[in-house]
Amino acid sequence: MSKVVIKSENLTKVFDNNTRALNGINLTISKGEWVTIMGPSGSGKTTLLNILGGLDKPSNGTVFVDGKDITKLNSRLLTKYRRENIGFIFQQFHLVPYLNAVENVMLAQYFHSIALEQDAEEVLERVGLKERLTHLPTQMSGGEQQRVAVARAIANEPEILLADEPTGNLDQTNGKVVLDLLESLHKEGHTIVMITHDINIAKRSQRIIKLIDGKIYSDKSTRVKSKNPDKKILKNISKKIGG
Amino acid sequence: MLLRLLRKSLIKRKSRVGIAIISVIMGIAMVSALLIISLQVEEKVGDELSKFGPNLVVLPQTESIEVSVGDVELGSVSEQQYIEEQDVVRIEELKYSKNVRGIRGIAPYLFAVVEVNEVSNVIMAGTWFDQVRNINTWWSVEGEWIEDRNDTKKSIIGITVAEKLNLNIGDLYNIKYSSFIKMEDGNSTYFEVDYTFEVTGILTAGSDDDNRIFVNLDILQTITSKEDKVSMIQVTALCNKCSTDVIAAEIEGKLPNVEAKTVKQVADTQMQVLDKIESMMLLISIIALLASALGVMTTMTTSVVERKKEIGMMKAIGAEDRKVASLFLSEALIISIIGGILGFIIGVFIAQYIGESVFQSSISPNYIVFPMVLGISIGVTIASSIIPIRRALKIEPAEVLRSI
Repeated sequence: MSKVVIKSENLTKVFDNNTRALNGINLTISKGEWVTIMGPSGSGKTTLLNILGGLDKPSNGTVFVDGKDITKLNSRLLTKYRRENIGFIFQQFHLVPYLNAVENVMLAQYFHSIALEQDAEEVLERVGLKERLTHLPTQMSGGEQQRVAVARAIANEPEILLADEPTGNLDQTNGKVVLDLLESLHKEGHTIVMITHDINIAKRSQRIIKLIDGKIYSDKSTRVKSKNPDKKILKNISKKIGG
Repeated sequence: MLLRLLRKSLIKRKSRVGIAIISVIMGIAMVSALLIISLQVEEKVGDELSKFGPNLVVLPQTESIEVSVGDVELGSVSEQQYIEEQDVVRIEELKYSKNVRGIRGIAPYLFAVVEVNEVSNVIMAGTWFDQVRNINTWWSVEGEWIEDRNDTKKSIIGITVAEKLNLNIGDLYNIKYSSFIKMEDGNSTYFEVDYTFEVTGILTAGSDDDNRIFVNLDILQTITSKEDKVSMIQVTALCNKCSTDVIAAEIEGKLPNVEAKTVKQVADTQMQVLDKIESMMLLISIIALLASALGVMTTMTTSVVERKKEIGMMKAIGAEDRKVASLFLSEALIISIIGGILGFIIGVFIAQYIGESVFQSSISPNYIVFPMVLGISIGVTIASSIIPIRRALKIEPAEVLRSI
């Protein structure tokens, strides 16, 4: 059995306006696992990812990452946690528009420790952008921009990659390139937690967790097929998640 | 990386940065100009005000003896006292005092009543004309001033005297001086001196001076047998942020046998004008700096709002608060240094312009002002960036990035 990297217990998040985004999430993610979180809008996917990434704090419950409860960390230590353990991949890339590809990757290195141009170039080579090193985001396609974002996410070799709809802004071809990249990173041993609405994208991962109303509705491996799929249940789920 | 980030960020937002720099330039140019002027204005205003005459008159201390016969008081008599000529030098030393900003002129006077051409008694004053010219700048002399302190023949006569005695430039006239001189044995001896002077200038002063004859101090001291004695010393001194009374007290402290009187009107006007000018300059500087600070603050706040997502992303990927703050602080520092340097250069020109238009004289750039205004520029810019920076640090990445 692989080592547990993320373990949440009774995770609850109630916003100021009394919206209950998460309602008692118990979740365990092993090292090297690629997990997809699905669910309809407002089901709590992003809130869950934000809490796992240390961008938000739960109202109740705990999140252990490598055995350490990150919900107890203060703001400074949470920043350190994000810097050292997490690589974020955003749907909208969030690249700095006036920095070229190498500099956008170097930015993550600079916030982590020391920015080394050569290392940044190597990371960009890994994501297939050797020829686009000095291009500004506006000079690149969406797929290329997202690959720069992936390069930035892995520049400091984090253990966990959190990706919120990484292909949401991309066409099919570019989306496939990014997914191939995530797959290769998964094979390299990265733990990936990804949000998507697309079941075909979700099937590239090992496990799909479906959230509805802040609760885990289902948690299934994509590798094992159900012998007797309950058509009625699947229909219901499909209806609820809008898929 | 920080430098790279700064350079690109500044170039990318050059119009905004330009506005911030212009804000700083405007404020610093004004402050530089006023500082440069204020360092010289005292001198300039002093020059202007010294044209109104001396602000201190040093007189010998008089000792009066009350005279009475029986119960009837007859009043007081006082022996004519003099100041030693060497005291002039000691008053001159005051320019080294911390209270004294400068001495425009020190003119000793010895007065004597002489009979001119055997018909009229006139007050003759012996003085130093080079100093009198500095103090009584409104004196109008037709003919020649007496340049040499050792000249024994030339005289400048008041216009009233000239008219009364029908004297013109180039005329020679005789004077007779008579007095008693105290001998060593205590007895007084009468003596008379006849001397001939030439009229080299006719003075129009619009005051009692029009009724006098002016000659060199030395020759009058010789004629009157009052070597090294003077009756009065006129001083035009500027006090360093204090009343002229302080200088008067300092003179009296230095020279115990004299009485230093301030010519109140002139002294007070000098101080009041200087104080008002300084207050006005301070007020203008503060307003200019506040306007700069507001400009910088607005630009920095706009910058923070525009870069909200960028800052959110930076914080999300692990940027510490100090690194985010240092980014904005460094930007503010660059803006303040560029603004400070350019502001100073423009300030020098503004000072020059004011100097020429107000004081009709050039104002040289005082480079000691440069580090001062650079410090002010950095201080004001950094201070006005604090609120925007705090705002940047409060940005919650989860909120601004919405979906991470």
